[in-house]
Amino acid sequence: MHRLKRSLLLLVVAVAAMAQTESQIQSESVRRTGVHIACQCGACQENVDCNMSSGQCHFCKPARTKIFQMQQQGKSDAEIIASFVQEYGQKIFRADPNSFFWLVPYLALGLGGVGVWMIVRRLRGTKSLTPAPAGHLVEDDPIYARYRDQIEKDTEKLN
Amino acid sequence: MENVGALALLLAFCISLYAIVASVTGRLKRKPFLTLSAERAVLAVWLLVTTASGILIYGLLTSDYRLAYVASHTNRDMTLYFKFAAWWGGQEGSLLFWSWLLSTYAAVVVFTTRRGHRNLLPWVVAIVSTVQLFFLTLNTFVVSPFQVLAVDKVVTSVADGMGLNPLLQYWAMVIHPPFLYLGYVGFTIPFAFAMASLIEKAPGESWIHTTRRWTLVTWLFQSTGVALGSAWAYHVLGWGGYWMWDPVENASVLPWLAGTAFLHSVMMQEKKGMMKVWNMVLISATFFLCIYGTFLTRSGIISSVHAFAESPIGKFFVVFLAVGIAATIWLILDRLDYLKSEAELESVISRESSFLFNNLILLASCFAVLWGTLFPVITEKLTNEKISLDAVWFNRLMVPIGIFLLLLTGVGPLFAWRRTSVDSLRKNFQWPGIGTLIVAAALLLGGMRYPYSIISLSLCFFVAATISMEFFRGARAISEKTHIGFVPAIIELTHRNTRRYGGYLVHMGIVLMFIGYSGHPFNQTAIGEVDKGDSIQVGAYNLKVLDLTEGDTPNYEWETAILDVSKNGKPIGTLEPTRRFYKAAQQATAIVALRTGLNEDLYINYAARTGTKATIQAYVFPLVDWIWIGVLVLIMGTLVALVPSKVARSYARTEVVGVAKKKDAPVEA
Repeated sequence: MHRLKRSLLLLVVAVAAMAQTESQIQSESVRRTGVHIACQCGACQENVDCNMSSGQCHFCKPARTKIFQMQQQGKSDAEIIASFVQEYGQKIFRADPNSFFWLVPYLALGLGGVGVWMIVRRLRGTKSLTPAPAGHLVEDDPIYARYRDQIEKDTEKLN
Repeated sequence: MENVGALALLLAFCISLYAIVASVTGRLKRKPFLTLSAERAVLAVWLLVTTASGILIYGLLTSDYRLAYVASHTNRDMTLYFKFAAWWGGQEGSLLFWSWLLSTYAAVVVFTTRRGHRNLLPWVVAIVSTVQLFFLTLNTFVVSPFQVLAVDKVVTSVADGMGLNPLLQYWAMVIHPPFLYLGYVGFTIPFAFAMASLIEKAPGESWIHTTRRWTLVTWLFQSTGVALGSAWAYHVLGWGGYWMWDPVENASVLPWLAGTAFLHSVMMQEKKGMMKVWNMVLISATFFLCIYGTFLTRSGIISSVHAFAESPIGKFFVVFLAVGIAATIWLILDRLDYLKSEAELESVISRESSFLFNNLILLASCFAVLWGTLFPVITEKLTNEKISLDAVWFNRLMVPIGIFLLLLTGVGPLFAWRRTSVDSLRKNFQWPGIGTLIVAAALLLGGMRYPYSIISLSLCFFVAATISMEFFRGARAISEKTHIGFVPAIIELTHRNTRRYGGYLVHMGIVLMFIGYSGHPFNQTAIGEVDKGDSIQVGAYNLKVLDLTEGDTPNYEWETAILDVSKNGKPIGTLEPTRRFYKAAQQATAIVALRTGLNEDLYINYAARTGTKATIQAYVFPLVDWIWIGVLVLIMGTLVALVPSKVARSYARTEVVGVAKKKDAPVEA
């Protein structure tokens, strides 16, 4: 009885394996494993979701089918990847980017921000114009006031 | 014939070398005839490279299969323009194309500046000729396009060539590389003028004024080239992506980002005399990123560092880049004193500081893309392990950066130079700001749940509103003053200051592109393996398979699905996605069936045939057409900015004339 059960189960797995639909082999779980397997078609630099062929190239489709089948058999991602590496060599494996890789662009942005802040401070800090105190001759002198108005008008045009 | 071509390249190499020596010696020893002879040498180089290119093109068009290049990149069945396009289809030809474009640019520069810049021109000639010499070295000694096929030293030919990759036999792909190359090569000229100005310690910003049009035209070519590549990916590859952060795409966008930063940053120098060092750094970075882009796409380093090691041209590029960058850094450091800023920053809320942030964001994104492109290569070199880096990594980083840049596009141009008053802030931003919040609220209430899309679309409204207000206010003032209609007033306004209003149009183009990008999270997909009579549902569309047909031509076999399409139950016609299998190349390509609309595209790809069933991939891409409309507006805006303004503007420089240090101290004269 036990043997019969096992045979039936194997049969179900085998039938399932033969009849994968396109949506099954393009599922999220297949993709998850697939990003660690490089397409070997020679034309693209993608993982097994070759955009150059809508995922239909002679390498990607069988590779995705194999991933799907192995997942159906309960194999882990590591086991599936190991099987591909065994077949094609280390060149097929794509590792996840490490945290250093993730951090650097943010660090660059942060450092750039600090740089801009320092430029702003340097350009403003050392030689900034202090406004003339109220009641100073600049305000009182009508000639000065006229020039100021003219300057304001001219600089307004610049904007 | 091919010997004449090879000889022409060899002569061009020698004359370029002469141009460098004669130009530098002529300038240093003050011998005008020598510098003049160097300028003539530039024209001679153009003539020789044109001759060589003409011979290669003749070989391509007449299917001269003795030439290895012709045999590897064309076949007899190809149409004439694809045969012509094979000039830039392969490594040897495209590097010759680079040389030809550079020699053409150089000849134009020598011709157009023959009466001015007598002190700068010798250095410009020397620098451009140095770059020319590098590419001619590759053309002549490393990857000659004139190699012939031979068996036992007897020249032979093959019956037919291998043809061009069928994926590339598409109109956008035919003109995409020339546009990109026009951009890549074009940045050599402003770079050469910048370096010449540094060497000569030339006063003022003459190099910027002289090269403004060059930079803008080059930037236009580069933008169009990048957009064409994107349009090609969308229309041809069959999965509807327009940007994958593929290393080749990154290679094209890197100099674009640096060039865009430069285009903005030079305004600070022109109007305020600030950022002089920074502009030198930016134009140099843009130029070297152009060389780097060519290196990336041509050396094979992307596919693997091992391929790069085997590539004959990789090492030449590395040496050229290393020496060039070192020399540029030395030159800039040596001339730091001469590059001192003439003005100061008065307020953080000012046009000046908005440019600083614009530069920060553009360069940070440039660095991130460079990092994402280079780091996997470095890791592979060090650990022999490749990294899985897909679009997700780039998007997570670049989407927020892009959105912040969009915000700056809206606020930056409306900040005043020097400082912005609270009144002006209120005048410019009050209503657009309120409108933006209303749009965001409406999107939220309408059920949109993607934060980036909500922010992006709201900001699109904000930027579009601020730009429209600028046009409206200006046009209304002109209309009232001169009693002309509103539309002629807009044209008059734009004509008066083409640079400013052309710039606004470019920004509007960017806004429209962002509207297109914002639709991405709403994409819908359905994949079906269908037989005659079956249906697929994607979004509101129902696709019923009327028939599956197939056929054969001498060039390819084809399979087509005839689909009856209805939207919400209403019939809207038939679509026929096709798959072609090219016999010579043994490669399949998709002829996507597309139903475009401003709200969404229905995109159907015939992916494969299994037995009697066809695999159909159906997608709905909302708003995607706005990207292409945005590109057209961007191109139009750049063209407007290139038209000379009706009113010649000479801006008074804001310079510091005095500093009041103490409370009671008089204002210094």
